Amino acid sequence: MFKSILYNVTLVTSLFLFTSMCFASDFDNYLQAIENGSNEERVVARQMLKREGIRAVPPLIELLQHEDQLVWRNARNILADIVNMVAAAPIDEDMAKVIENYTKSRNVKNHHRRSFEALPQEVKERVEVTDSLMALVLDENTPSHAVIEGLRLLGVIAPADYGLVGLIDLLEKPEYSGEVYSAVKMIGTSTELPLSMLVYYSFVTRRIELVEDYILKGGNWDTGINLYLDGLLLSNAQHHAPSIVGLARFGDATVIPAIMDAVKKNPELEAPALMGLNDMQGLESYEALLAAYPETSQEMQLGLLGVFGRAQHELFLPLLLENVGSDDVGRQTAAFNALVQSDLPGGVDAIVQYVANRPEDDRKFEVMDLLAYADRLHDKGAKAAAGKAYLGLYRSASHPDDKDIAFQGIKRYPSPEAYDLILADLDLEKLDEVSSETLIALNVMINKESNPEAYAKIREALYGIIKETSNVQSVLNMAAKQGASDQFLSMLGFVQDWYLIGPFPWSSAEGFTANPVGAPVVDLKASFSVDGEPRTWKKVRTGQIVNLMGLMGAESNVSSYAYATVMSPAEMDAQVRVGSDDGVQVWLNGESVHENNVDRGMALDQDIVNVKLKKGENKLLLQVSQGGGGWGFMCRLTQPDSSPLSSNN
Amino acid sequence: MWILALAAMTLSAPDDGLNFERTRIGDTTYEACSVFDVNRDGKLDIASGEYWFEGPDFSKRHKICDVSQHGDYFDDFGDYPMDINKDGYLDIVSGAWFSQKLTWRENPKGGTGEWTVHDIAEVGNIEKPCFWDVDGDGDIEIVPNTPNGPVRIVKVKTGKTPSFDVVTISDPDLKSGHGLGFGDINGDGRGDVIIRGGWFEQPEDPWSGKWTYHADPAMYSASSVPILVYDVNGDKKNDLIVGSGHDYGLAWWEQGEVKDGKISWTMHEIEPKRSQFHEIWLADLDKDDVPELITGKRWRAHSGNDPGANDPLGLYYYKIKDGKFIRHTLDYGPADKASGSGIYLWTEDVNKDGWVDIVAPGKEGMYLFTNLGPNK
Repeated sequence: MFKSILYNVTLVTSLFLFTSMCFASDFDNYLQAIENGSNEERVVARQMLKREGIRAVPPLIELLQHEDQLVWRNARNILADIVNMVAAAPIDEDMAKVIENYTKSRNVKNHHRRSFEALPQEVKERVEVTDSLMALVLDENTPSHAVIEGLRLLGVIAPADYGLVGLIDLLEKPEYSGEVYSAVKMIGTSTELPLSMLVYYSFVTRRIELVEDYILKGGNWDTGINLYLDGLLLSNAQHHAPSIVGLARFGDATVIPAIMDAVKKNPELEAPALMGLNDMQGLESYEALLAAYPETSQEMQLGLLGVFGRAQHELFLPLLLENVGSDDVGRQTAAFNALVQSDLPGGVDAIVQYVANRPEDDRKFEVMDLLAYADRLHDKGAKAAAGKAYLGLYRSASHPDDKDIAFQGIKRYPSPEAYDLILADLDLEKLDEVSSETLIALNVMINKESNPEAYAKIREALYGIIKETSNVQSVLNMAAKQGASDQFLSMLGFVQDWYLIGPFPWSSAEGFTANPVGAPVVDLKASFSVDGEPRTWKKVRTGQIVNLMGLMGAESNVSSYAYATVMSPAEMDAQVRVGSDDGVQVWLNGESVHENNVDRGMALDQDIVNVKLKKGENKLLLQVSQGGGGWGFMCRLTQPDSSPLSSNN
Repeated sequence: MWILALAAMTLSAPDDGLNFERTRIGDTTYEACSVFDVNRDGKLDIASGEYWFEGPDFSKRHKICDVSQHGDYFDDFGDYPMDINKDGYLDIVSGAWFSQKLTWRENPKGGTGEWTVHDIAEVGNIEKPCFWDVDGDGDIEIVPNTPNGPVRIVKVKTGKTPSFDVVTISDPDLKSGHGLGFGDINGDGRGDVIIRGGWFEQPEDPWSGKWTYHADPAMYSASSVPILVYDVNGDKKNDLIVGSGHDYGLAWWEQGEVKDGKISWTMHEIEPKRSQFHEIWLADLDKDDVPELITGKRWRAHSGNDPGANDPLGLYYYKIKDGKFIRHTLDYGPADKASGSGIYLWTEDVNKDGWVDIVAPGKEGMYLFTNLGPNK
């Protein structure tokens, strides 16, 4: 489209000649030496010619076109030295304007010539050398090595505002396009040929690289995206696939219509579009993709389902579930693959169903997918869904190893529907071989009414393992998760019915010496006064933890008392196990049995006190101190062998 | 010739917007910054958190003072330049969420030593300090957004021994909430103070008079700081431009007629599907004498827990025309490729070429967007 803008070589050359001074003979001799001299003569000539400055440029440009490599390489080296010197001339904003006007108008008329002449000599020199190099590279008769060298030198010397529009013609020649890019990149943004314009005319790889550079350089996202959009319109179809990948990778919701439009016109672009869309993120883009989905081809839709699965966004779940449940096998498969590769917990039922529906002898891969999905849910902490996935895996897997993994998962995340399965798998006579974890899970989940025999045995087995504090803690944790704490607290020996009074001033330094309520005597009707505020006993029913901070307020340097009665069927040795935040004193039946003035956080069974219970009612009194921070206690009763005593207070 | 060429090829790029050159400044991840001449060498510098970066190339940095770190937050929610001690060098006023203090950092007269930090006032958690000439006397007041406390204006008396008067203009027990703006709502020529649920009308004497509260508009529960007061649709009544700081949404509230003594407000969404527009600002980037809205995502505004936290981040400016906001995108993408806005961006003609540039700090890094003028 553009034909060379012819530069007036004669004019430029004559300018140089005009400014040239004498010593022509030495000068000519050096030039001669470069062309025909001995090695020694060339060395001298190289040193001397570069001192001549721009005066040497026209003849050296001539020599640069010489066919003898030795000659043109020497000329190139001297030119490079001169160009580097001349290129150092600084150009301020006003000069840039003049240069811009000069280069725009030089082939039309010379009315800017006057202001150009007013520029400092070194700036004029810089422009003039650029002119000569432009003339060189644009001359159709210039040998290709000289064009390439000329372009390299242009990259160094051309001022940023120099008009480079003529270089467009060279872009259409593959042997030069690379050098043109390098030159323009080095020169920077030019008024007539900014980088963004240049990329229109490039060859596919170069253009795509440049646009990507442009986007990644930052700050001009709009322009970069427009360049990709324009890439889709270029007549050379090779631009289309990489442009669509770029658009999808870097674009936002606004580019989706263009992508879908291009794909509709040319289905071959579906694959690259889908490849790029995997990188597209954000609610806005997801909603736009979902909106575009119904209008796309069957093939594109199947691909998009994969994109939606990888997006890991709940927004796509309804569509994926709809497809996995459709009658179309292709859609089912695509949606299953999408769901199973995601970590969306909401897909679990559909995934499990899909795998179960596959013929038993033909679901090896689906089972593997399901296993990986279940593990991802586990990693993500989606416990209920992980439990379901492992259960589905257990039912669908045929390989013993897979079944084993699944069973471990089910035990880790037991769900109500898994219990029958686990129970069926259990030998009730060998419950001592079952891990504590499973046994605890079974105890938490099992239904007494539906399976009384198993219930009794499993409960009995649980008694065997809850001598260990760690197992007691596991039971508490699992029961709390299932909302089933109540039925276990009594079984584990926790005292839950208390009378509380407080707070009273307390000092860690004085320990348990002060006795504001007259302990160990307890009069539940008595009232005490702290700074004129009354303190009376209050009855509470608690969980495993008696949270004094919640019940008494966020106080510091105080203590409170807790009183309970415990019925014992007979006189017996027992243990009072207390965890407290902070310190604790314990009286049983009016006798102080334990005192621990400590500043600590609370844990199960921190202090274990051997006591003797009498038959009938036993009076248990605790004083719990509070320095600052958390405040509370836990108390349970066990036999001397650590088996819990069910608290029937 | 270019016009012909482009028409022939039916190509549209480059767009009609502005060209920017993006440069990463330092490797810091503070969320606030400012641009001023720290050392009075005639070249603008960039201050952000613990450091200032020496202009014109910003490659050399100098320590200001320690700033405490809390997770991925730094206790530095503004770096506003003010010559507090009147020594001719601009100091920095900052506000902090965790220390709950407004402070000023004393410029060591352009030297390279650390800056002495002085307390201004303890005002509770500061979402962001704002700086407006509230009483119109030509001096800037400090107005911190303290979501858990009342609305207070700090009158600064600069000088060798500076002093600071903290004036509470709302009910002292008010929890004023997330979001703060300043501008003339009722057209009486005095700037009013806007919070997320309404506005305080400036009385004749802002320091002793009563600031009457007007409920509405409600805006976002965590509205941007600032809330901008600007006549979006050119009807001579100021409207409000508000971002959602910790959720999806950017919108403007159109001021309508007064009915039964109450202004009617109508919400118009600008960006319902992008999130964390914590920082919004107006500046004339394209020199058409009409300001553009400049904003972006405050990435990890709540450490990755806000809605849309994982969506791409971006930095945008919007041309405002006839009540419409036309988006131009400078950056858009994941945090390792794109810049957001941080909590306190700065617009200034950094290189003094006549075009206003943008410095965008943030947990993803601080970037200077040099405005190169319009695409050609």
